[in-house]
Amino acid sequence: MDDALRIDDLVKEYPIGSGRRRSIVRAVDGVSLRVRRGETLALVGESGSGKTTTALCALALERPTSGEVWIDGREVTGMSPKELRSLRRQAQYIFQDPFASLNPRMSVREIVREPLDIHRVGDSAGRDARVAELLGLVGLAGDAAARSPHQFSGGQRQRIGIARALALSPGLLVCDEPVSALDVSVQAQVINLLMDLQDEHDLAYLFIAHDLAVVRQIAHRVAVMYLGRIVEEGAADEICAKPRHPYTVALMSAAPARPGRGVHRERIVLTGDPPSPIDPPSGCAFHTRCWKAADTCRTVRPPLIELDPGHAVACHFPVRRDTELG
Amino acid sequence: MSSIESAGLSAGRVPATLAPIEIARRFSHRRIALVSAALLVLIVVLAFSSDLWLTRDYADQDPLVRNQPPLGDAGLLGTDQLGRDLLARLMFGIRLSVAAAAFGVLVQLAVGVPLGLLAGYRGGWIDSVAMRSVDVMLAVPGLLIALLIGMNIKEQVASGSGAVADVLRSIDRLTAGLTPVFVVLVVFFWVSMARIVRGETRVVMARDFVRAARGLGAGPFRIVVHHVLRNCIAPITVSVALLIPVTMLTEAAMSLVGVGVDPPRPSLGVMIYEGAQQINSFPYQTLVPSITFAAVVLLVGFVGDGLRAALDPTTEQGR
Amino acid sequence: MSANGTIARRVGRTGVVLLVVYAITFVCVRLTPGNPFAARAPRALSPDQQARLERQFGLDDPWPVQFVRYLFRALSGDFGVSYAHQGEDVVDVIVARAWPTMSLVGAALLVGLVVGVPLGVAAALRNDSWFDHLLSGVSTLGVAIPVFVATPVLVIVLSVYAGWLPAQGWDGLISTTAIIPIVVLALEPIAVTARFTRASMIEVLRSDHHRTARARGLARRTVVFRFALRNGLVPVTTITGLQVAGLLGSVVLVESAYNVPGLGKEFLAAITARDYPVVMAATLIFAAVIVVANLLVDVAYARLDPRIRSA
Repeated sequence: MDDALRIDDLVKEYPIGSGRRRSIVRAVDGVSLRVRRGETLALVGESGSGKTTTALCALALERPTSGEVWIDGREVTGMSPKELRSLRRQAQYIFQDPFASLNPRMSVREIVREPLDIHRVGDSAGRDARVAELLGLVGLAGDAAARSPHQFSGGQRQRIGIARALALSPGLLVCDEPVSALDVSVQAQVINLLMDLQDEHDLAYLFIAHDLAVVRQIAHRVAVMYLGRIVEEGAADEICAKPRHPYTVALMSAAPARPGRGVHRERIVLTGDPPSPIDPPSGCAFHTRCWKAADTCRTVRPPLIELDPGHAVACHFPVRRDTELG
Repeated sequence: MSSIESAGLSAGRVPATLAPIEIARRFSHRRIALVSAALLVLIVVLAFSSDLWLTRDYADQDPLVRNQPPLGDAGLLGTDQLGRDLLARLMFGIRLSVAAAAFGVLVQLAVGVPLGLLAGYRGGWIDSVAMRSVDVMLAVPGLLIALLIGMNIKEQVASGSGAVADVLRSIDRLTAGLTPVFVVLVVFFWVSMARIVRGETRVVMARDFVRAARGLGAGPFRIVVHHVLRNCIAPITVSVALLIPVTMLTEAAMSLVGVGVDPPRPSLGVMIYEGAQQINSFPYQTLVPSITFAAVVLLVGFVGDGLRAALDPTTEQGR
Repeated sequence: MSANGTIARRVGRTGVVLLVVYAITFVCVRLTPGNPFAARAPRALSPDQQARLERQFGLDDPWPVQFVRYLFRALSGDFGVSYAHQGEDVVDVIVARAWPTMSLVGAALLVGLVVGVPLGVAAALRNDSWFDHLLSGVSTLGVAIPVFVATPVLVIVLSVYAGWLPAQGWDGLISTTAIIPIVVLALEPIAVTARFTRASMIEVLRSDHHRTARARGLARRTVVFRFALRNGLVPVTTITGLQVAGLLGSVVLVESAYNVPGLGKEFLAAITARDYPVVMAATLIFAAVIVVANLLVDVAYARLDPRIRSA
């Protein structure tokens, strides 16, 4: 069976500046990913690591500089506008900011109906019925349809966005930090909603996040990004419990541990900001902040190697499990 | 003309977060604007129905009642040096003002808005060409060029030969002699609207909901009409309201100078000019159209200010 | 981007604007039917005479030739001979009438600043007071009332009824004849300047920088006049530049209404008389004044605004 999403060696560069000072930023630098049907892959990293660019390229909302994207076994890169339109029925996007992603001049009904209108699904009455069904699915009251988005809270707005994304019954949802703009109490509700929907509709999620508590809860697998590259990838349990890349280790130690595990972990605090993608460090991009960095790290870029089955790390000196940070 | 336009430009930046009902409510809370709007409606209705309630036509001359003062036996506003009823002339003059204003609005909506949308949506060379021409248009001596164009069109209508002149002549018959004014409005009045809508379009295009619409498979038409245009309604409304006085002013100035509407049709500009010839002996003859024109322009200005305040969520309410 | 580069580009753009104005003017004038010679000849001209006159003024050449020839002559300061003023050089016609126009425009700009800025500052300091509201109402009035309305109204009040000022004419800038035209012309600059000064000052007074200065214990008067005013007036320079274009339009109407023998009145007379050389020269000169004024404003802006200077 084909993967819901497969990304091969994706590169995205942006030009910056103009004239003589024109240069190029490589926001995504050779990322490969796969999301199986019904699975959640969490893409984790600090802001500026290229997570969102990867997600936008995956759904052809940005044009990749090179690399390939496959959705449901169909190659997305190089699709005609018509093919792209039909692709939209299979893959949808949920945005980070529920205040910016809903048109303030449209009613909720118009917003949720828009995908049905665009793809001419059924007749008008049928579309309205579907809108009501979708609003019920995401837990909004029936009278919500007639109101406009600014009458809703952030969490409710995100539910509207989810209803819109589900309207065409896609198999893949790309969720770009869908809860990071919400209150903590509301976050859990939306996450639970997304998990329920996944069970009911066999959805695949590419779930972008920087909050590891959320990732632990929802993800089957995790990929960690740093400065446009994937530095570690593996099953969620394993990455959370036994991270191998020093950067992942640092991320995990910064996140509040799950209560009840009783595992004492030393807190590793990263110093400094991530380096600028305009002028990335040579070798391993993380060496400027890594406590294990050696000369090799400054010159040779470590490849992503599968150390254990299903667990790949891009590091010359991966953290040994059990011993170092037990 | 340009300083009023520039005031409009700075007013164009209105955050688009108010619902239409909310805007109507806020507008109705602004008493001055509401009263002004009501008065304007009244004036326009009176002007366009004047044939029904006036006994004399604007061109009827009566040598027996020349230069009669207002509130006398010869009509409410008196008569001019040819014994024509000033009230009838005033009403016709207002019709011409309204016609110029309506056409100016049409130009803004039918030329300025689409051009601004196109430039803002497509970017690239279309944008560069459109915005360079806007820059040039804002830097030319507007009134002088307007008068030149007016002169040209008038002569074309009067004595031109060829297809263009024929077309202009048939337009002139339809527009009661307003052709030179209309041509000038077409040349000038798309400019500031195109600039405002273009800027607004670029702001809206960068917002997530446009990206979301593209992610849903929306084509350019849907994005422009349903997403961009809907969010430009507020600045468009404000710009239209702010430019209406300028269109009326253009008509009056052109007619006053003799390159607009021809006598005996009484533009308010023509009435002001003719009255000023007798300013020492019969000052009311220029005072009546002057005050009327100023009042109408002022009322439109108040409505525009009210709209701007109602559409801008950052202003406080109830004044 | 350097300030010098920006200014160089503006100068280039200025040339483009002038060329466009010239092209528009040329097309408008040359496309206008009607015969400039027949209009003022005592008798009907014979075809021979007509052809001779056209040859004499170069009107029988193809348009592109006329366009380029006129352009190059204009660049060397030769605008040809007036049709209406019995063969007088156009430059002489213009120069003789430029002073009243330019002095009226200059005076109106000055009055606009001298009256508008203090009004705007006062309104900003008393934000939301009755004075503020009154000023905003009055400035709506100042923007809305066109000069061709204000002139007769002022003449009726100040000349016809009160008898204080002459009802028309021109005795130079320092005379009672200049008062009504200057006041009429200055209404809009005063209103617009006051509005922009007020808005700009309110913004500056709200800024952190200003609060810090106040917190440091400086007296309000010192803060307002030494810091806020200097920052607040930067945007006002832009508005002043834009007003030149509006004023040069208004002055045409004011001169006509008040019978001032300036460029504007001459322009209208030339339009009526189809005196093409004068029409073209006057338009170009007005355009040149506008673009040069805007250029000066850009330069002043670059010098005044610390953000642009450092960028």
